Amino acid sequence: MGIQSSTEKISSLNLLLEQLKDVFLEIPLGIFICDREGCIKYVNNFFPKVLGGSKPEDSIGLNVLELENIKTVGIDEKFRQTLEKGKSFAVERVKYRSIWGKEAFLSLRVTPLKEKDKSCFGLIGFVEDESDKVKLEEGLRQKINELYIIDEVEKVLGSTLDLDEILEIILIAVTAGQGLGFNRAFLLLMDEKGNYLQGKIAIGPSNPEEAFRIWKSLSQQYQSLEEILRSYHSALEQKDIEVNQIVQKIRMSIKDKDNPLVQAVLDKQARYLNEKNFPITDSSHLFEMLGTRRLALAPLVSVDKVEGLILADNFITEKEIKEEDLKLLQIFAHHAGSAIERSRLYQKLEKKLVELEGANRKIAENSQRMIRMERLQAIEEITFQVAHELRNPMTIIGGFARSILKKTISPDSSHKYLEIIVVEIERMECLLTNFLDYVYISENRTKELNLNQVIEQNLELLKEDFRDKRIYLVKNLQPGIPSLSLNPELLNSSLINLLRYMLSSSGSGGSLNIATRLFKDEIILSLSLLPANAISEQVKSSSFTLTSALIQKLGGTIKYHTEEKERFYLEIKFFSKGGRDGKHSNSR
Amino acid sequence: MENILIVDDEEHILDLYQKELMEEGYGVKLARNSTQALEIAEREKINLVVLDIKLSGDDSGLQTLSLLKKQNKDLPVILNSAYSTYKNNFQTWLADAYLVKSSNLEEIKEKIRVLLRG
Repeated sequence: MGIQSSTEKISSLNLLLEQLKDVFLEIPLGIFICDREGCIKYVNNFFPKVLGGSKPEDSIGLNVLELENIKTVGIDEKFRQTLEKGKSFAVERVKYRSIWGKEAFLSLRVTPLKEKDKSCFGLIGFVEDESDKVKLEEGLRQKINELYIIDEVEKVLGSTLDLDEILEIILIAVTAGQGLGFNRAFLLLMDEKGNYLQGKIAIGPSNPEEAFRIWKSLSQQYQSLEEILRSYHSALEQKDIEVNQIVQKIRMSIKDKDNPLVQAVLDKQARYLNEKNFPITDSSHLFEMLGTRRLALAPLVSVDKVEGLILADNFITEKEIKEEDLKLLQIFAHHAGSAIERSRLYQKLEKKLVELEGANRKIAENSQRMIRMERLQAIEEITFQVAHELRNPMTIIGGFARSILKKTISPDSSHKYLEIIVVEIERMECLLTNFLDYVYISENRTKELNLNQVIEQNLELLKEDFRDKRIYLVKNLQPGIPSLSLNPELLNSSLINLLRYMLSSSGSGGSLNIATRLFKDEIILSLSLLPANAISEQVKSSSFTLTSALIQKLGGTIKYHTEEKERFYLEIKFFSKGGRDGKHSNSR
Repeated sequence: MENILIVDDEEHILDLYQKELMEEGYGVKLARNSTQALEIAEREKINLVVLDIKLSGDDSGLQTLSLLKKQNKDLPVILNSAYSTYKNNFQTWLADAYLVKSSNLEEIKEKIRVLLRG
């Protein structure tokens, strides 16, 4: 078959297609017909739209076997095969740049045009622009990937309430290749009062070598994002010292409204920061610290509250941060914000729980103490009652003993025993008095007392006894000493007991020196007895112990010792008014 | 002779006080409860009363004190008790003296002397 014949056939095919043009007009397909040499002889009206040409005539005469653009994508050979061997072919979504400069994903189906004897006299091709479909599918894939990332992170975040763990998970999710894929991430948290943003933790390599080493290790160790997130402890083994040193230095007041980080927090919106939209005067020296001027910011928002801010960059790869990256970071930051809020609420709850447990424990302890106190009070009341009831029999026994003693002649053997009864009853009465005084103290009943007067009154009561024992009294009572605010019964009881010990301790004859003086803010009462033959027995008695306890209950201190020549020295100190930092300490 | 009324529910206390005060030259009358005390104080010439605060049964020495003073406000009354705590009870302030019981009766004897003299 000659060339003429082939040309004629193509012309008649063209004619046919022209006649069917109304049908083809509706089909979004570029149709072209080539002759045996690969030269385009016909294109439909849609063909230039697919390839970017302005009109169909521009394509006529172009040769599919010679066009560089076709050779670049490697399908010139397929055209040759079709023309020479009559083979059909199809290519799907090949990225093609046309001679008119249009880039598109094209699908191509080519069929040979054959004679009756099967010889090929040309080819017909159908070309479809699938760029929109590809873009749509890519978008869909990305959305699926985003959902996958969020789902994986949510799963892991939901498994812990520990704030530190949550923060680490957030950082790993932002930087992991299977996650958001940023090179570095910095986490800033809002302080409790919401006044400051403070850098808390960061993750990321400090140089490309380190980055390569870490990323390689991570990709070899883990398959999925969840695996990486769940193994965050080992992933953070490197600790990324440099970025953490940087993040610790970041601190900014929320009042600094010119600061883009603060703006992101206040707007609750993610934003991309670069040289162009960053203020010229960077008071926080942020870019300087971070070493980059391209940064994604995403506030960690939970409901209406901002918990903190994520800063992410591609410091190592310098990969462009796209709008989609920012969107995903924002979505992720919302989930992370909720996790932080959840953790903080849990911490508060835990704290309240501990407080509640403490309060419960305290109530239980107080309840036990109340029971103990009630028991003690009951015991005290019984003891008090018994002690009083003892006084009547003692009065009777001692009273009759004294009565009989008066009528008994001294040498009589019963005289000595009666004397013993009288002395022992007196001792018991004294012990009982001290005991009851100790137990019964009218807490609120204090009175301004002049110690010198109290001493004089008590000496007056015992003056006959001192005279009988021939004990000479020497008084050195400093006039004008400050008054003491004390329980008068307790003070009287204590003093009379002490004077009685002095009497009991001395033999016949001797001296008792009684002195008072003011020294700094203390009023000192001293008793000095000579000789004090039996004082050692007296100070060992329970009655003396009770008297000492009474003095201490009054807020005083008591000291005593025996000096040379059997002199017994006893000293009591009370704080005067204004003593002990102006507090009146003796009132008990 | 001056008469002293001793009011106490302890039999041996009554014995002791009666013996000791008689030896001091006083006439002694004894009452074991409030009713007896008020009867004696009304019936007999009593110069002074030694009154225990805690009497058996429902009798209260403080109530007796009030009734005795109602009968005769000039009658001296010494409250004599095993308890020192009543000193702070304002009802005891009606009495002319408050003494805690003791085997040594010198203090009460002295107080009786002073009150009868006054």
